[in-house]
Amino acid sequence: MSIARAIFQGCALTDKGLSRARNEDSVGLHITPGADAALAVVADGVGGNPGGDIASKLAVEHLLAAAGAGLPQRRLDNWLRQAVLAANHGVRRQQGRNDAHAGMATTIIAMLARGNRIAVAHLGDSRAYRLRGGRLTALTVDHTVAQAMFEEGTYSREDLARSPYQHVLTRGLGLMDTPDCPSLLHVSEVGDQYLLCSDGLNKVLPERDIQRILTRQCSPQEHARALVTEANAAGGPDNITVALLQRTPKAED
Amino acid sequence: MATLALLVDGVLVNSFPLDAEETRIGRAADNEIRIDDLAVSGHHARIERIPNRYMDGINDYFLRDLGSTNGTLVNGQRIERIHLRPEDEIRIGWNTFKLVDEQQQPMDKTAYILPDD
Repeated sequence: MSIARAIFQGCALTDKGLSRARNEDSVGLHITPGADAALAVVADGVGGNPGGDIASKLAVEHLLAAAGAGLPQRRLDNWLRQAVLAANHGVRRQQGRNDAHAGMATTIIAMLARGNRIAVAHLGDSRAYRLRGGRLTALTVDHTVAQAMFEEGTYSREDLARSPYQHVLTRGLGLMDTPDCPSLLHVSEVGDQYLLCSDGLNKVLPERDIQRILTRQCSPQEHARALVTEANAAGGPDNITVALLQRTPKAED
Repeated sequence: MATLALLVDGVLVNSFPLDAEETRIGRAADNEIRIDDLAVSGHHARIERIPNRYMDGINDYFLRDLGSTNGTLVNGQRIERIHLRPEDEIRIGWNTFKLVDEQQQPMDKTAYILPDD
């Protein structure tokens, strides 16, 4: 079975927010010259240890370099997981070279689209969402202590929403040699919009607000700007990063 | 060790240790925290101490209402069971409590736990 042809457009935007001295998020977007395949990635450097900004930058650079060498035709989920693990390896190597970067780590959310297939891989609490038919759906489950406590039944949904452990990661890039990185394949439809974001967006903007913004008829650039603007209007307590990918309704056969 | 502080007009008037897996709160004599207040049920609520599975040395405290007549309120909302945070205001009858737990620093920046490999 051949993969249906699809065309992608996208936009990536990162903003320091209003409270943080530095931007420790990184973002990358690679769209092939024919726009028939795309890779998007967001990484949020882990605070507490120095080098979070370097870890997130390195991770994104690794994925963009892998994309530049050629995006796969099939088995997108497998390719994407391997690319994240290679980025993890790169960050681990850098930790060994410089004592100041020994504990650096980052979250990562990566997406790879070709045809009607779309792969999503992640470590940590950066998220992927899909907007289809006006409805926003989360495609990832956070790797946090709060989420783990919810899944095992210790937490109610209300506990999860107000937990002090929402920022405590159970997985991340740079923490171990071979992290357990989920990579799932989804089927995309014409008109789908995909959003990758750091928690500086989804911790301040409720999902109904994200849905409202993405439902507006405008370009990915305008969507990205609106998301960042509203997150800052809601206080902008953290760095805000978004990557948008749209399977366009045009130029398909 | 965490304690439950009894506050009157924001002033600490009593402090109860939460040094057992369960600490019962009520008007009856067999409660660890006994409250002489007609608005409090005989066995009103209990605090459950649960070691956090992911973070060594961290205990979590869950407050559970035991079917009390007037309810157990956290930040003005009636609850059945809830994970207590130090900033929460607990109301039982006419009494206001707060959890005091020095282990639980607010975690407003992304942190991570070390994996076990």
